[in-house]
Amino acid sequence: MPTTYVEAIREGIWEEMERDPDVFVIGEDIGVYGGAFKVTQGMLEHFGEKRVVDTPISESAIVGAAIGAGLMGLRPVAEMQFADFISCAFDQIVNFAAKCRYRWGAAVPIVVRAPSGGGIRGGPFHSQNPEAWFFHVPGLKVIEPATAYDAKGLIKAAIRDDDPVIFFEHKLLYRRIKEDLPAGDYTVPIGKAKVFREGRDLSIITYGAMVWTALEAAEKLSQEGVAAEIIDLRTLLPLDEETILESVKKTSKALVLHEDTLTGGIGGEIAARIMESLRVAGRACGSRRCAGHADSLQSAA
Amino acid sequence: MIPADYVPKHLWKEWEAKDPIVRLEHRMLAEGWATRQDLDAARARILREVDEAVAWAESSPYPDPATLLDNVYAPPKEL
Repeated sequence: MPTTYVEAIREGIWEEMERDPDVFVIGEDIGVYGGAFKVTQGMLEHFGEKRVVDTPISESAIVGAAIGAGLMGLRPVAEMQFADFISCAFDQIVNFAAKCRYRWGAAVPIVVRAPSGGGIRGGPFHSQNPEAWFFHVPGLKVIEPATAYDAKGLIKAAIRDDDPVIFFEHKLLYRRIKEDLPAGDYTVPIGKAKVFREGRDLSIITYGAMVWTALEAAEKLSQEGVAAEIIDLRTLLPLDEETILESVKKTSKALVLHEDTLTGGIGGEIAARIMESLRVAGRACGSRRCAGHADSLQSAA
Repeated sequence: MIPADYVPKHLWKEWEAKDPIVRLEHRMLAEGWATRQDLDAARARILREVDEAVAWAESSPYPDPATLLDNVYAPPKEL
């Protein structure tokens, strides 16, 4: 019975809450309502009010409270209802969560989960890909799985990790992708990219929903006799340079693909690193401008 | 440091009277959550801790630049 990407995340969080009584969830509409995307459905009834905390509409309070709980030894999993609202918690994340260990030797073992990405007619405030803002911040880890298997393994790893983790879940993938998952406990290592598809002629370096777009492109290319290799980053920070460079050394051609805007998207950094090491790189990414709300504009973007 | 002498003097007086830490102390005493001795002992202990921390910091050598990137992340561990 295949498990969807969103169900995989739910299972992962549920298993960690069973495994460790210090793990709890906090966010808007996650308790009684079961979460905007139903990730926390059933948790309030099963784990109770102390471990499933509904909050007012204040992302800075959600993350601030999570940081406080983390400093006191708990392991909160905070939810941003949409990744677009994470900017309200930006100060808490970059000035506190990211820096407590460096400044005071104090661990902040929190996870901030956020549904990101477009293509679902959400408009400019429900479709963004904010990973670049956090990719920039030492002390944070930034993850974006592309498969149900990785989503479950990485949310579990993120919860067990002692650093603050920003966990982006591409909402287009929530119910559109599914696979059979192994029974039993497993984690996926943070900081390791994966060769999603092997090839010899081109390295497509990508993450999130674009992994599936790359797969479609690779299948078309194979009909023309071109074998594209797809590197699914899985973790954006710390970036797995070794896997990226190993692939590009093999193929000698790199295409960096992300849905985020071109200017300042993480593709620039990846291309620069490849250039520094190997001197061959190009980029492809999503809209250069924020999409308007109308369907026609979003299709065009 | 910018001195705050641009602040009108009467505002200092007005807000001193509303100092939340002082108000909390009064509330704790009134509700019986702590005694005067508890509060005085806490104050003395904390002042001592701060003085000791300052003395330790001022007598410590500057950190080795090689430690610049220590503690950005937690040490790796088995999951």
